Formats: sequence, C-alpha cells, structure tokens
Amino acid sequence: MNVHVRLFAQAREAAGAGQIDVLGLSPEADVNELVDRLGGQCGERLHEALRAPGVRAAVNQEIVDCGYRLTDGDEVAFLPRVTGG
Amino acid sequence: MNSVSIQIEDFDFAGEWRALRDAVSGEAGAVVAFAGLVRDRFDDQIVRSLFLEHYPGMTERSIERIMTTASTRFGLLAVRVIHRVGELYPGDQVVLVLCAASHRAHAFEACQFVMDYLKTDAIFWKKETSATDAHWVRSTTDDQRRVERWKD
Repeated sequence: MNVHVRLFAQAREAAGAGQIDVLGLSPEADVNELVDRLGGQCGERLHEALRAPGVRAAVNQEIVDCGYRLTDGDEVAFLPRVTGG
Repeated sequence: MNSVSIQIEDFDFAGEWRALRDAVSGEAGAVVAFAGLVRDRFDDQIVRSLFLEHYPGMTERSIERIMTTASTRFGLLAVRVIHRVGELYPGDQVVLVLCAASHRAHAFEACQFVMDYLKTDAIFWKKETSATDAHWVRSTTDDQRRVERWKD
C-alpha cells in the first residue's frame, strides 16, 4: 500500500521536504505505523516532530486518530499545533 | 454571503470594505472591519520577518467553519476573511475580518469571535525570524483564554 504524506512547519523542516511518498506499507497499516515508517525513512528528528504533543493527523483532509487504518492512495497530513491570526 | 481567501498578495482594505458594504446595503446597520498587522517586536526581540504556512483546502474549511458558527451565533448578514501566507514583514497586513450585521453590537462581537478562533482553530503555522534566531510560534494561553470565554 502506498500513501502520500504532507508535512508542515517543524515536521517539514525535520524531513527536509513537504511531501513524501511512502511505498509498500502493510495492507493493515494505521497512522501509528506510518509515523514509525517515516521515522525509519527520514530520521529520528522527523519521528520526534511527529510524536510531539498536539500533532494531529488528517487523512484526505479529515482529522483522524492515530489508530486510523489507511487505504491505498490516501493523503496523510501531520498538523503541528496551529497559530493563525 | 460568506467568503474566505488565502493569498500571498496584500489586500485592499478599503476596497474589501466597500464591496461588503455594497453587498449588504440597506439591510446592514453596521460593518465592523479588523486588520491584523505584523508587529516589529515579540518578547523584546526585534522581529525581522514572519513566515506563514497553510494546508490548502483544509485551511479554507477550518475558516469557513468559524465563519458559519459566527454567522449563526450573531445573526450576521455577511462575513469576509482574508488571510495572507508567505513571507511578511513588520507593518504588513496579515489578516482581514469584516462582519456585517443589522446592529453594531453583533458586528463588534462577531469580529472578535472570528479573530479569537482564527488564532486557535484556523490551520496556519507562523515562523518568526528575529535578529538572533528563527522559531515556530506557539499559540499562547492568552489565545486559549480568549476562546474559552465564548464557550460559556
């Protein structure tokens, strides 16, 4: 299973890229597994940024919890704490 | 008659105000307009620039939700929000909120409501660059307190 990952702010800087394709995830993979895989693929700094307090995951632009099961072709975004205005 | 724009370019405050006034002309007794600007100081540090990042699609929807809630709560005739992204400098306009209502009290309150929720619920990230460092801005407990007061 393949998913497309979008990263922002601290997480984007930690990965050195705002968009990453993650290929060959297990068919049962959830958001947690994706986070671990991204850590393995892009390094501990990204893993820490994704596990930081307040980071939320969104699948196809809807907020999900970390046990959410992914589907092939999903866009998964990791949203650090926001600061608008 | 609500609308939101996320854009890199600056906005024409007076032009936006006129457009909204024309759209609600007759019905509205008040249009309250707010523009947020980039400050040149943060915690005694001189701010050189502010970089704003967003998630296209999801950011617009996060703002639309705030506008819809405000419209219902305060009986607004129209709300307009413009939020800039990219590299901004002290004195630049960052955000515009226009609220039109039949009476001024609701227009004033709604404008504050929308701004308060933009700080905590709209999907943006801000990076501040000073003379000595660059860091991602965290939402403050003051921002949280401001939102909590609307929940009573």
